[in-house]
Amino acid sequence: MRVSVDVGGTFTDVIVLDESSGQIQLDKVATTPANPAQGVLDGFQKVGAQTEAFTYFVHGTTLGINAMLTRTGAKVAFVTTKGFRDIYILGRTDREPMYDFKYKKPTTLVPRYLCFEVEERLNYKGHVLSPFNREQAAEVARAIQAEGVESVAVCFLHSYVNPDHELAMAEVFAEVAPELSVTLSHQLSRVYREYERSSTTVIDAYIKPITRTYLTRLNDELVAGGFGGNFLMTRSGGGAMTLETAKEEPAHLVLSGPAGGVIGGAYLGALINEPNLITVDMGGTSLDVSLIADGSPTIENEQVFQLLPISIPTIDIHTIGAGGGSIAWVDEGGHLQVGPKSAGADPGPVCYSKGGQDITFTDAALLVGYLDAENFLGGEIDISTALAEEAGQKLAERLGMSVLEMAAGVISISEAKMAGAVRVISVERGYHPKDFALCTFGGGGAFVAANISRELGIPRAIIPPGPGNFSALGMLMVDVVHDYARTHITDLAELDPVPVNAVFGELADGGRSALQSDGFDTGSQQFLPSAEMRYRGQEHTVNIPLPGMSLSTDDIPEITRRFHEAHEQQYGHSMLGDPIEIVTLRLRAVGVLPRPDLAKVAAGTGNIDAARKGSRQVYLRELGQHQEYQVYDRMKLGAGDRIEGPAIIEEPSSTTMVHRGDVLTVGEYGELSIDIFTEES
Amino acid sequence: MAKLDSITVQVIHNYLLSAAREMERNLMRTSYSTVIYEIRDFGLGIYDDQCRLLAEAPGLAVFTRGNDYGLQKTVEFIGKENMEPGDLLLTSYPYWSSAHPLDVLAISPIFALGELVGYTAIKQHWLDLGQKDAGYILDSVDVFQEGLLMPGVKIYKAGQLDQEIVNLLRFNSRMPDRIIGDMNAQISACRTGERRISELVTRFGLETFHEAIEAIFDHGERLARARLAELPNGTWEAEDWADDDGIDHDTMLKLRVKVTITDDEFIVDWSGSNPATMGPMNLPIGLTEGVTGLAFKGITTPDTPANYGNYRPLKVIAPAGEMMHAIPPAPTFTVWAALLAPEVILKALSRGLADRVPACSGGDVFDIMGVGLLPDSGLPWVEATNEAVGFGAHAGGDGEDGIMHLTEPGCRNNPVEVLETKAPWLIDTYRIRPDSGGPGLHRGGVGVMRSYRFLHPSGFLSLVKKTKSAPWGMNGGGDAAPGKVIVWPGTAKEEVTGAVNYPMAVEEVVENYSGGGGGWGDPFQRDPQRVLADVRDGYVSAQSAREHYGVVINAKDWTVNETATNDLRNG
Repeated sequence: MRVSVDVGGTFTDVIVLDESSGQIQLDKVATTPANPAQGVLDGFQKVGAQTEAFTYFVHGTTLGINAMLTRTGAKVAFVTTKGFRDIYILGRTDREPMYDFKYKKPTTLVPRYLCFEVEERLNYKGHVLSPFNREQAAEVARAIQAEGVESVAVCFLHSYVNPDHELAMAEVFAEVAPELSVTLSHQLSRVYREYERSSTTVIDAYIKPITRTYLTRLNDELVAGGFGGNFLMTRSGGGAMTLETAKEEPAHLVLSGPAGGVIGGAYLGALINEPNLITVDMGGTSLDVSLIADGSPTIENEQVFQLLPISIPTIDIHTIGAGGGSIAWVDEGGHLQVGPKSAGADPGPVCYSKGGQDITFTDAALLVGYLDAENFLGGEIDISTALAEEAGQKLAERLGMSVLEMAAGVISISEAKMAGAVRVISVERGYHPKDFALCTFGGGGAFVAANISRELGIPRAIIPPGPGNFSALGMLMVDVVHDYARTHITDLAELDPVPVNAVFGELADGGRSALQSDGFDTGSQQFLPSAEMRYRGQEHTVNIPLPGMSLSTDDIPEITRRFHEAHEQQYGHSMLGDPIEIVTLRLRAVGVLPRPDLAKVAAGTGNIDAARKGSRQVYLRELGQHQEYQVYDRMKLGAGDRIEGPAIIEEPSSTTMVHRGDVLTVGEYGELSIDIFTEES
Repeated sequence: MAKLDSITVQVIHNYLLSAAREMERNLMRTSYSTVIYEIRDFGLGIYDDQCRLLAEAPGLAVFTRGNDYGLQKTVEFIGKENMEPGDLLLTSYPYWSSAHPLDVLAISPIFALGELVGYTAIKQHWLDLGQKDAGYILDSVDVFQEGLLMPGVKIYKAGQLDQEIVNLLRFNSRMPDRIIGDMNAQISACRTGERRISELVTRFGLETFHEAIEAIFDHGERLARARLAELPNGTWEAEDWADDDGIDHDTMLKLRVKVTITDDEFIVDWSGSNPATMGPMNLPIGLTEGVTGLAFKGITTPDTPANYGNYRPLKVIAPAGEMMHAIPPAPTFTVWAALLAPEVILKALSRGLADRVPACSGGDVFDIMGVGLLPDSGLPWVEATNEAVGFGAHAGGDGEDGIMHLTEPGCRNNPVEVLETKAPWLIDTYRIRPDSGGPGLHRGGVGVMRSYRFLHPSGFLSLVKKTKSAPWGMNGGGDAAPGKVIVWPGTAKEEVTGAVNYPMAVEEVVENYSGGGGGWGDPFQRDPQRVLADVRDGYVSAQSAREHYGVVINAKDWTVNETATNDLRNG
């Protein structure tokens, strides 16, 4: 039996999968912010799961990113090269708002008085210019100890080429202040740019103590309850890592939560033969968008969270402030705007009757008829249409619109923003949406799936089974992953395979021993080599999968072709005659876990009337009037059932809109697949 | 069709903004020079067929409004009727492009449904193109020393690359491979925008597109007018000084401005500023308009994306032939008066709107540059970085520490590890400058300091024109420490200076100090606990706390000595 738990901001989702039958059981409990481990244990209790029967426990958490958001992580000291105390505090000194003369940067995770300098210096080739001063370093360690610091981030200049001094600093801490948790920059990133590497290191140090405490406690409780299986954490870069690695390198947990949905998308895509998928996870306050090309989530080697850069491989997840709770407002130019401010879970939308005064996306969905007041969250929450109408009336008057026009406008503007977010991770990255299907989940995804798809020319939208718990489902499908990288700059045309193969040999040795200690035998180990390449003179690189870890000069034409093609695809131009260089060799070591099978759903009877609950009037902006939608119960639909829009499919955690001309088919695994109608089709 | 609904306008507006961001990403990811991908020395925008700005992406704010003028003049010169799909034009004639000739403006017309519907335009710094000295020009006396002048040259004609023009560029550059690589990135980014807008127009149709953009401009105008209406009417004047014109090092240059706010206009008059200068400190009129627009935008609508409509209430006056309105063949290369100009507008406004505008920032971009031949390969190199300044404090709070100047929001510092890899430099120090922020109830931000040791004989240029006068405080706040460049510090030939171009020998050192921001309000009114925090973090020294803030700190346990503080503050 496998179990996964996704701890979100409001709810903790639990999924149990019986590997023998493929049956899944899902539920959610309230997240317990003061003690998140309690929410996890509550979840087990609610689904009645037997801890001793778990073979795998896969977990995703937003603990780290929440600590960053609320600045409630550890008290961290930053240690760097003498003369460079401020490289972390200063950052890159830029700002996004173009015209704000009063701009303030976000508060750093370390105040300046906790930034320290150590005498040592390397040059860019890694040669020692000033030796590491052990005595002065020990003084620094004692000063840090005296400040009551919990965790230390060390980033020396050029440590990406030569980590000796950082390692020496770790030794000093081990002697002088062994109680401190220490993060060394080179262990997370072997890439130049001191600020980005420092920031990565600080983030790791900042979330390490709370992550360790939490994971240790959770594991202890599980073991006490009889748990003897594997404890895995989902990683920002895809796949999972063992409990032990997670405690050592929590920087890889920053996107642990949303990564589950993307992994689940890749898994579902493989099952239903949709290798190209765009995933959209719409929650209460934000929307996470990601892209899976040819079965693999796309990875970025540098990401920015809350304006803090982190340079480790991370699934390319684009987040915008658009969710069910996003607030509608009127700007000074008289235009309707939606978000990014959110009513959150408390007070939440007006219709929740918890004191909310601002119309939100959810209120608008209720007013136009997307949502049924009687059926919200399976009837668990009381919804007040009257309150939403009253607040809606006030907003509509300021816009000179009717309440319905206003509400439909809120939906349209939200959909345009969401389509914009999808455009960022597809069109802006060189992918054409028409080659993808849109897979939406989270509470609100199914409302907007069809219209976002139509806006972007995406031919099909897919709503997976259990969309409200899909991230947790995805977590059940992980492999264990370790990433390795080494800078190795060489001209592709004159590639000498011997040193390249030697690097891959070393990286693979590291991967093999890591996977070995994770418990994977050689039969279940996979190695995926790639190289970051660019035209000589460029800075940014494109990551190109390599044919193998043992290259020969015969491979050069094929690698060359792949690079030109990828550059053309991503940036719209290639420079065929120009010299290409390899910059970084990368290896992903994968411990393959047995893939559980999802149970198929029973075939439908073809008589969809049995699933019909009635009908509802929905106001549409493009018509300027209501249209009747037939309403169906998803739980009563079977594989092969086919429904033509306009229709609404309801289930406890989600509502799917199927508009006029769209055609919905229920797939083998219960997924809803909507063929999108366009004028051309 | 009935008047277009505002929701569709929003949808189209979002699409335009997203297209501008996509152009930016494409440019950053494929360029060859740190000035583009690290420092972001570019400005890009999308325009309608009348050269009116629809959307822009963050880069150098000082570039973008200047691009508006450069695009207009280029289209006027070539003729709208002579634009063909697939054309790509280059303009580097400073009186049009509104920047020096190394900041080349690339323009691509956008066609959709058989019509010219707009343009994309990107200006970016080219490392070398026919100018008299490698790197940068500090002492030209006419435009013909400043680089290759291109008046809307079609390097692509109807989609066909003109190899002869590529050859012309290559043979006029000390770094032909780098500039062609960067140019390809620039063109590719233009093309990306072109494709997106063409798709947009095709989808919505010409009529809807045209209605939508008028509505976007009208909306932008309403936003600006709503804020303008909140400002008091009046006329205020101010002046300030830039160091010199690069030829005559003893005479400071006056920027004088008169700002008038009426119910529906914001008039900025530069009459009475310096006459034309002999050295390259003159400003093309498009640049004067551009930086004036930057200040106007910051005062009225800093929180919404820029478009043409925002600027409708703005009127700019600058008599032709003066420093603020260069006429050919006056030298314009250094353009540094443009950096100070928005500060001087804020200074004038501080006399009527003390609660709305900040004190002076560091007042410059503190750019330094090295040029030479690489020791290993013998290939030419140019590396540069701008340095962050302190922002001026304001009624709402402290000025930010270590942040790029008002005119270059998207610009970033060049990392130490990158500079040391690309240039024969060793950076000894990079840190903030304690006590450089002006004291005040709200403290001005601090500037920074970086020092460079030359490991190979090279040229050194500093582009700094605000060292002889201090960034001003406001409302009782103190002035900040101005920036400075120290060449050969601690040696017999030590020189404290601003803009210079010197050959440097091995192991010689240069230190670049950027200016802090002015303070706002009486420093004796500042909460002693905040002064304590600043002292503990090292932004303010204990001595300055005592002298300027009247606060005495017990450094042993990091507390405020209440008695001594009360004595100082009341005594």
